[in-house]
Amino acid sequence: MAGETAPKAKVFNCPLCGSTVQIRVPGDTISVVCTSCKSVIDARDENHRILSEAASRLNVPQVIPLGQRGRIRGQLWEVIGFMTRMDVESYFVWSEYLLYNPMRGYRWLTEADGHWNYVLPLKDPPKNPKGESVLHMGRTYRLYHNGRATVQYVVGEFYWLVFVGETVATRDLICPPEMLSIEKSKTEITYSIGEYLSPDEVREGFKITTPMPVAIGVAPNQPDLLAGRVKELLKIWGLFLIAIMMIQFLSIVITGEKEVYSGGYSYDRTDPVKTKTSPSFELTGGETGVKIGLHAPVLNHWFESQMDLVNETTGDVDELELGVEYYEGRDDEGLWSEGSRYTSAILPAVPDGKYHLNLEGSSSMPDILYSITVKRGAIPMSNFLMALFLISIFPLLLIWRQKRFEMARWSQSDFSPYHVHKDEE
Amino acid sequence: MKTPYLIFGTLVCITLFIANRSGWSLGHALSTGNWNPKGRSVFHK
Repeated sequence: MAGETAPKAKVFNCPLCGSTVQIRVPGDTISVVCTSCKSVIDARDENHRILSEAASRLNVPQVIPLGQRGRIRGQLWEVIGFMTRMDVESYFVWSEYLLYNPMRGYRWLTEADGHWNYVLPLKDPPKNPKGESVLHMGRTYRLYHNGRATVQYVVGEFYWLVFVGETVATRDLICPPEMLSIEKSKTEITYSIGEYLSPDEVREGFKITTPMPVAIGVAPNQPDLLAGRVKELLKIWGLFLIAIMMIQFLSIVITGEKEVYSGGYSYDRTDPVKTKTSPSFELTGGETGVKIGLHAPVLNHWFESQMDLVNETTGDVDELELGVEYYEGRDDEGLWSEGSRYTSAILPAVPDGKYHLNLEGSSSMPDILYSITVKRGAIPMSNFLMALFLISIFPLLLIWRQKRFEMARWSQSDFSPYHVHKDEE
Repeated sequence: MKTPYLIFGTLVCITLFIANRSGWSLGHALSTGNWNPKGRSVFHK
């Protein structure tokens, strides 16, 4: 290894099948598995005693072959062992590569559903590793999985006595991009921290040219690369919200909504003169909106009026129809009411000039008095609401995507915060 | 993502300001189908 003394490998023939067996770390290796017959050999025994014979000689394909060297996080490692393990309850299978560097010791590279983890043994275990939440080095790890893992397949050399069927109790807790794993056997408890690696980091680090396993779903400790962007975008959204509120407020203040006409009228179904004409009024202050309001004291009836806003200079006419209806009564639940006696509408960008209104009413009542108000400089709320909607789209989409990502992360966990536990239903 | 959102949001603010100043109303445009206030349903009688 570059700058690091490579261990002198020990080579011998498998006492069972005669194949060449290599021990890359002679001092530390306790057991070595023959790559041909899968027998477990005692690495410390001078006669290479067979510890156990494999039930099957089938090869499980490895993404990284034994003896392959590669860099992870800038450090050079050599693959000396490979095993697949299975969760006893869910039958979920994953791969583990034992890495060795003479200066740094052992690490693991694990692959599950195409997601990779770089695993370091933990020398200082958490003080209180029980419970659904564990604090370690200032980070809070949440329980993701409780189970039992059994070795399904193994080749290469290991620093403990390994065998197919070796089973340990496991607890996995996550704090993306890290996973705290606790494994408990009959004799010991081991702690390790896994750090999520992208498949590209593994492929480039080990110069892998064969196809990599396709990453499926979201890994338990996979970092959400857009999570930080959500907070950033929400800050900008807050600034935009203040900006559009200021614009709306200033528009109202600068334009200065003011009443230019107000008048009362009578509607009589028998009146031969259907159209009423208002007195003339002036619209000034520039081409802004005109708000026309209608009030009629209806009760369990409706009233509506067709209105023409006529520019007396140019003859231009703006047509508008406004209607009110108001109902009230009493039922089993008490008094109820619906509708309103007042309504209004805004005509946009009406030029300055002299105007009058032509009004033609109709009603479910035979006669009624109603009033009309005309205000210059009306600023509609609809523009503000649309602006609010537009500036909120991106943050809302990101928040929705973030939640979907987290739900996908926890979908394989019995401890998901997004699940309703059966005893709570 | 930050820069496109900044540009987009700024354009929204500018559009809101211009729309309010010119008296244009989205609500009116939606209810009448007329998106141009200068060419609204005006006719001579």
